[in-house]
Amino acid sequence: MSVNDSSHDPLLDRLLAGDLDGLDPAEIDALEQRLNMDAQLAARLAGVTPVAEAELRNVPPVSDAEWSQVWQTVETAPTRAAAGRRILRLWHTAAAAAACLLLALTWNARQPATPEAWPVTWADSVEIEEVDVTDGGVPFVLSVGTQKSVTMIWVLGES
Amino acid sequence: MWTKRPCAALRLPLLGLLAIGLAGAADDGERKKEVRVEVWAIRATMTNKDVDKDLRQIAKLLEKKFKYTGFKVEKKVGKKVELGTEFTADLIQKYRVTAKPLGVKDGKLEIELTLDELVKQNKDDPKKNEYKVHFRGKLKMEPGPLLPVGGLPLEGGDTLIVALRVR
Repeated sequence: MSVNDSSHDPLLDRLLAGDLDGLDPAEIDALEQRLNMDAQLAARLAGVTPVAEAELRNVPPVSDAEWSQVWQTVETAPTRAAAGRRILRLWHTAAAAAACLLLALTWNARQPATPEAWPVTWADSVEIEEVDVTDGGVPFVLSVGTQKSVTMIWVLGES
Repeated sequence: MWTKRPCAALRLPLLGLLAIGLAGAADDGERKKEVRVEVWAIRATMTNKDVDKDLRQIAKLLEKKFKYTGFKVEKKVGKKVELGTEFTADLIQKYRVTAKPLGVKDGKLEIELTLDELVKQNKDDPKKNEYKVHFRGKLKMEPGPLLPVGGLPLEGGDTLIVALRVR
């Protein structure tokens, strides 16, 4: 069987068309047996260029300018990705720092503030519900002053 | 994605904020029951005419009523205490003050005030010291101004005036 005759053999047609993946194991076995038995066919098939490879040869070559553009793209791509990753890493750090700052501010806010000023004023009234003094003493409520009166409790008789 | 799961660096501050928030919420409940008590020990004397700046107002009034000419703040003590809790502090000479805020009614604070004097000291057990009560009263007072309680004898013929204020 010659290659020229193979146009009538569907298996050889598929082989020559480069459809190797479409062959099942049984078909491959059959082809191998035929090639083993037919040395002429095997020799001719050895010289046949696979269709795909032949088609690739027809593809116009890549120009130097196109190659340099491709390489430029390849070289800049990792840099952009790294920059993106750096920004992400910085973002995490910034977020952690912001959270720490918020923690510190919250902590400070919880600390007792400096005691606010307590201006000196004097009572102008008092209600006494119960009172007890030492023997001999007499307690009384004293209200002194006219405009700015001050109310005080005095234990008379002791001093 | 980190947005679904906070990164490790963020976990600690976030946990801290959570803990502070919980502690703060618990603390606020406690703080509302606290009162600041302040007590001044004032010496009134006839031996000089020195008057402390803060005492000028009552000095003018007491000079007319009594014969005192000098007024001096000898000691100030104070503490923030919870309602129902006693605050005790030594004043001057052997006097001691005990203040116990009881509660707030109609904007006024109800407080128990005791002024006593050490008469017998037990060196082995201070809890067994003996005191003489000079004044004990249950008072209702406005928060803020000082309420003087005077007439307690001091050595040398001077008089002790104890001024109490709360807020």
